[in-house]
Parts: sequence; structure tokens; C-alpha cells
Amino acid sequence: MDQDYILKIIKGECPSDERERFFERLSSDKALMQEYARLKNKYVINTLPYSPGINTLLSKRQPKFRVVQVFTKIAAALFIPLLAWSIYNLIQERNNAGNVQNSITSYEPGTGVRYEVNKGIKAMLTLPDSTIIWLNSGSYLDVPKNFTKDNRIVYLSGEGYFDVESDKKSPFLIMTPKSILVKVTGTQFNLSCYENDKNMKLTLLKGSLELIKKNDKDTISVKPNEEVIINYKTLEDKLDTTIDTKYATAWKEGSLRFIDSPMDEVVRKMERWFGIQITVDNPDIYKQTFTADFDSESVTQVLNLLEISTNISHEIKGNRVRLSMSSK
Amino acid sequence: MKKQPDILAKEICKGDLESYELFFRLEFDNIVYFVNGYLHDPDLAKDIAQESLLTLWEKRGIIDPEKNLRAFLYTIAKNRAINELKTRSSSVNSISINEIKANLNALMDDSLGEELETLELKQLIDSTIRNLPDTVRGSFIMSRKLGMTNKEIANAKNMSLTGVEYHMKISLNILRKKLKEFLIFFQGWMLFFLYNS
Repeated sequence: MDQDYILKIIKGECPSDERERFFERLSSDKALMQEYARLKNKYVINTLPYSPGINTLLSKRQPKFRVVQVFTKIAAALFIPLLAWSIYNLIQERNNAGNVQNSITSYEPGTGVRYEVNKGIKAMLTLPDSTIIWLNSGSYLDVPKNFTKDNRIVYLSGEGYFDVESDKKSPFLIMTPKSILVKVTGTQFNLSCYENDKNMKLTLLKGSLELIKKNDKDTISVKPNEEVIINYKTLEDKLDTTIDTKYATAWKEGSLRFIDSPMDEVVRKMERWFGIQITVDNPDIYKQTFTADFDSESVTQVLNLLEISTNISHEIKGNRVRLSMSSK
Repeated sequence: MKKQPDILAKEICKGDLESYELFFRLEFDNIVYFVNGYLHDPDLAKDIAQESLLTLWEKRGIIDPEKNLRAFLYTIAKNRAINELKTRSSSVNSISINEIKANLNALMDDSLGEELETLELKQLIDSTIRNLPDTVRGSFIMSRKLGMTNKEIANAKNMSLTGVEYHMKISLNILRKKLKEFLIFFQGWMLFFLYNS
């Protein structure tokens, strides 16, 4: 019997009478029973929702690539955070050839590919010029069709950590919300430009780069260990030369950090990080600030700590959280 | 907290609740998915996952931390799933008796352990590559993922050919080292049948 057919049965793609006939046959066909066992185990184990990493890395050498081919083969390694209640996603019996890929959606609207990372997860991808980009939850990166090592431009909404391949002849450009352009040659930096944030924040670790505001003849040059914050409302920029780069890039290592962070920022970051919705009962909550460092704690643990240190209590229903001022 | 399996296993056996909780959250979803694949009953799969993880905690005193903790967990879950299927062979549920027999046979087949071991290996390789030094990783990905020759990589990165070859040498050495550790540490999945119910 055809292996593909057995696989169809395993995936649940056959009508129930066909299915029943198949399993009836198995009881009398030992070889088929064995074949089913083999394929069943292979299928279940290989579609377990672990982070898949870069799957075909050590497979046979692929033929010389052309730009178009490369777009369809870009690897994305997904880091799934530890949230037990997200299993409702997994239990649904979908066609699961890589159900983890459901969480990074990529489409080609004729002009390029969009890598969208849903809330609650992060992704990493490598561009054809071997620039590596980590994307934080709730972000998306648009890569145009004509992206080549001579023409490097992308659009980012959200937060990304960039490790840009050095090429002095061909700078790497990142367009961000509010038409603020980032221009680099070879650098490592963290760029936070969520559309619903108050500011855009760029933290430079290595190399050099320039920020160019729309309609601005002057460019802002940034050196390593410097940070630029641009207010989305006023488009005013502020350069900070004494910063701790580890704070800005903590998310990449799986750390959620708050240093005297105002509650509106805490709420937004937690929503993205855990993929939950937070409603705030009392606007006084926003007046508070929060300092903490989380590595792999669950939402409940984070919320408990919040309660201990700020008097903000919480109520959890599914993936919705309600914050209120505790009267203690 | 380091997530290396051998360290985590040691901590859990010592009774460290935090390590256990981390392990719990790493594995829970996967065990649910695993069990559900054979039982086609999500609620039951959830129960079995929780029971299996609880059993692992209860048995922490007798687990050998040198052995593979995940393998042990999967064995517990697998045995529970097998029991469920056996007791259901006389009643009709969401799946037919014939399918129950087929899945029972699959669970008891050697290929299950082999697939789990292969998965472990794949994950190790992926994480090793992710953790390669920055300078070296780019070359390695271009070579093995994008299928470029060393010469092409040297051109693309504006590097010397020997430089690229050096990158490849380093990455392969690191991979070899990790694989060796894997083969020593994970002694095979078939050796576990500690839990019987």
C-alpha cells in the first residue's frame, strides 16, 4: 500500500468509512500494521510543538541559489515561551505539518515577504546577505522581493535585534513607523519601534549607524553603547551615552526586564511577551512603576510579584487578565 | 536558570521545585500533544500529561539523574496511554476498536523510541548551531542552509577563502563535540521501563 495514503489516514484527511476500512485491513495484514506503526510514530513525534529550529540544516547540499529560491527557504527558528495555557492551540486537530509555523505567518503580496511574529513568541531569521534578525513578540518584518546584497532594505514594525553583515559598499536600511530610517553598514543593535509605543528606541552595541527622520536633512549618528530615543508624537530625539545595553537586549535571551518602568509600558510588554490581554480597572495603576527581572517565570508568577511589590492585584480568566488596585 | 537537561535533571532529583516547574512547562504541551496523537481525546490527554508529570516528581528520589529525564517522562506517559487504550478496547469511543488496536501496536513499537531519540538529536543540532559564535555562524548557515560553496561565501562576505574554511572547521568541531556528549549522555530510550501500572 502507498505510504502517502497511510499518511493521509494518519493526518485525518480521509472520510470515516475509508478510515474504518483501512483499520479493518490492518488486523489481518501484519506488514501493513507494522508500516502504520512506523509512520504513525514518525508523524506524531515530528509534529510535536517543540521549537523546530533550523530544520534542514544538515541535509544534502542544495543547488546554487537564486534570489527567488532563497525567499522560500529562509529559516525561522521559533522560541516558544513557557505558557501552559496556550495548549488550547495545540489540541485543535489541525493539519499539522508544522503547527508551529502557524505562529509565524508569511505572505507574498507581490512586493515581498512579511515575517509576522504573533504575541507570546519570538522568531529568528537569516536574510540572503546572511544578516541575522531576531524578532520579538508582536512584530513584523517586510522583506521586498528585490532584496539582494546590493540592495538591502527592510521594513520593521515592533522590535528586532539585528546582526547586520558588514558591507561598506551597500548599506543596510531599515524603514520604521513614522518614516524614520535606520542606515547601517555592519553592526549589532536593538531596535524597538512598536507602532503603539510612545517612543522608538535604538540601542547600538557594535559598529555605527545613522538615523534619518523624514524631511530631516540632519542625520543622527550613533556610536556603540549609545541609545537614541525618538518620541513618536514630537519626533524629538534624545541621545543617551551611558546605558546598559543588556537591558535593551534582554528579551533576546528570554529575559523580561523592567527597570523603574511605568505601568503602561509594563502592561504592553507583558501582553506581547505572554500573548495575553490585560485590562486595567483603575487608571491610578498607571502612575506606578515596576522593577523586576524575569527569566522563565509564568504569567502567574510575574503577576504575583507585581502584587507583592506594587499593591496591584490581578484576576485571570483564560488568557485575559484584569488588574485592580488592592485595598491593603 | 540554565536549561541544560543534565543540570535540570540533577536539580529535580534533589527536589528543587523551581527546576521541576521549568521542566513541567517545557514538556507539558508536548506530552499532551503526544498522547492525544494516539488517543484522540484532548481532555484525557491533558489528564495523562498532568499525571505523568506528577508521577515523575513523586519518583524523583529513585530517578538516576545521569539518565535522560525526558525519556523517563515519555515512558510514563506512553505506558499510561497504552493502559487507556487497553481498557477501552471493549468500548467504542471517538475512535474505532480497530484503530485502537493499531495505535496500541504503534505505541509498543520500537520505532517510537527511535523517533524520540532522533528528535532529541535534531534539537541538539539546532541549538548548537544557534549558539555558534557570531562570526562563524553566518558562514556555517550559508554553507549548509543555503548551499553555497566556500568560495561563494568568501565572495559574499568579502573574506578570504581560508578564513571561510577556518569558520567551517570551527563550527564542525563544535558540532562534533556536542554530538559526542549527546551519545554519551543519552544512552538510548529503550532502557526505561521503570514504571508499570
